[in-house]
Amino acid sequence: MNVLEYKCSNCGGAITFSSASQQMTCGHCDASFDPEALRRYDEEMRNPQEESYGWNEYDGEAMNSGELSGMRAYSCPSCGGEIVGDKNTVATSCPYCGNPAILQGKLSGMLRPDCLIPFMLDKAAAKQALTKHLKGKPLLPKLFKTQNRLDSITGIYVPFWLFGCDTHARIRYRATRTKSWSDSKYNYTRTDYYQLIREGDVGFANVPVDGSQKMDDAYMEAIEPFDYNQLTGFQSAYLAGYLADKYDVDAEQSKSRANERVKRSTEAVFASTAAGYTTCVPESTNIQFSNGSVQYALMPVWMLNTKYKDKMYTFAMNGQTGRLVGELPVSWGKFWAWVAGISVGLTAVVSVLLLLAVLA
Amino acid sequence: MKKTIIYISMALLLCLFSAQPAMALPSGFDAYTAEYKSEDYPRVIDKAGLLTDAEEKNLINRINGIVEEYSFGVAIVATDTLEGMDVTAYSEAVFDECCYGVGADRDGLLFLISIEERDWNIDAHAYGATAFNDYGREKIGGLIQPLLGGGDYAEAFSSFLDYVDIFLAEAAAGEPFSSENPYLNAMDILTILPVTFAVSLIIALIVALIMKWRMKTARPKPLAREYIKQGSFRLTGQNDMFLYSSVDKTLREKSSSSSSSKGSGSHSHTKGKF
Repeated sequence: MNVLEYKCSNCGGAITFSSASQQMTCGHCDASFDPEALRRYDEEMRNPQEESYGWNEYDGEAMNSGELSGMRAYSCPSCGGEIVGDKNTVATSCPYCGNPAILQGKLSGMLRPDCLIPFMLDKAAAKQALTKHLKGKPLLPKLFKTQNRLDSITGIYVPFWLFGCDTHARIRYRATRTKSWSDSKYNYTRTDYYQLIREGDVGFANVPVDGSQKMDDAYMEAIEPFDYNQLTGFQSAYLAGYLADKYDVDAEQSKSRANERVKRSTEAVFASTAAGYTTCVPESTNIQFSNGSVQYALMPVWMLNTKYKDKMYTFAMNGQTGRLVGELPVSWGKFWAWVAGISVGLTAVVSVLLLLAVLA
Repeated sequence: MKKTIIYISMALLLCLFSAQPAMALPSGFDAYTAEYKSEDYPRVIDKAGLLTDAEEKNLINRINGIVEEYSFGVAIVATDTLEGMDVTAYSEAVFDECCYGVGADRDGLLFLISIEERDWNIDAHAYGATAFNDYGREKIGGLIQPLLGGGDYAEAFSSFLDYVDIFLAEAAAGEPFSSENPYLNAMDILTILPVTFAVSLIIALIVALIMKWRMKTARPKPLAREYIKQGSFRLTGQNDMFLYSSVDKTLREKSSSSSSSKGSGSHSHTKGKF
């Protein structure tokens, strides 16, 4: 004879039906469950669904010989970066590592991008953005600001894969509501546990994933978003005066990042419908992707490199919106000076206020 | 006038009916009514002979001022012995038999010390237990205990009246001193200076770490909400199912003290040794 045993979802112990309370109760942690809620919970847990990702294969078109003949290829012997530019554009340094000894090479096998966003901001705007970025940074070493000299500044079209899809999601969240109160002896916290189910549809268009291995993915995601209203069909003429990178992370390899961002965004969007809970954590997510599309695009980015104490600091600016990101050096002397100043100042202020309150 | 007569009558009735045989007035107190040629017992009784006449008079004058300002009875009793009684029982007997307290409820506070047993006790009655709750009685007891221990009794009683005045004013303002609304003096501020500095240091570290975190702006974006097609979000199913509840119970922290508090009837006590 099969004996059906329910497990407590709080502690994992066996739960039994209590005739006195007409509830299922756990002998280990004293949690009590409504039998109907438990049955539905059990049903939900027994029906896991496989996720499916309906991406289409990307079938790119190679550049024609006319387009290729108007371009030059360069490679960096220091970091291995490979870039291209039109025949009138001379690459003087590597945009990734700032190395000035860049070599001209042979261009071959480049896929024709489907679209690009042209540069909207020039070199002067990039320099200005960096100057502005250095302002209001109390931990920045003084010498970095005063002796700051840009070693290189390069406008480069960075390869991106743009993913679009429709999703149907069924997400199970574990949510809690807490209430606290006290009596003369004890503090009490009551936590109510809920299982939330959210089901529905949401569509995504042009989720960008960086297609260049040399380009730091964190930098490329940090300069988002791009305004796709200015997305236009690829013309090699747009490359004049700028460099461009060939993708070396293909669409197939980029899908995992697109899946991850779409999945987390879907969970967040559906979680926003669960108001009034103290916590709400996704427990299981089932997303069915459909109408998946992939485009190969070039996006405008200004790369700025500057050296400080033998270390290269790289900044990237969105060539369309002007958003600049990077990592600045930290002066540990200033760091500890701030810690000392704030702690002594706060102690003095609090002590004086308390003293005034006592003397009042 | 009519009201005053009613209150006095009720107070006398309460005195009569609440007097129990076990709570008879300890010996030696009758002399004080004779001394003052009045049925009322004085608000400072020094059976132990600790105070000079001038000190005693000064304390009585100060108590009268408090009674007038707050309609709240305060009494100080110093005895040489508890005659084998517990200090709380002795205090209750004195408070009830001497009819200390003011008004129909006999709102009042008695501070009693015994030289032989080196006991002190603060007995709060009616509104006294509100203005001088467990926290308040323990706080005042803790503050004057060193003076008692040093034998500076006049100073101890005078300090007691200082604190009574401060605590009554706070209670009259609507929020008596308590663990949530603590009473602090200059010495407390010095005592908590290391704690204030430690908390400030933690806050300073958090602020500095946030500043350091802001030095790096190149961080991955885990979400792609900007790329959701406008109007594409559609919720087709929604179910919120309650599963179970759990209740965590933790003991409330109490301040450590050599004194102890308890309530019996409408008396609340905090006692200690000096």
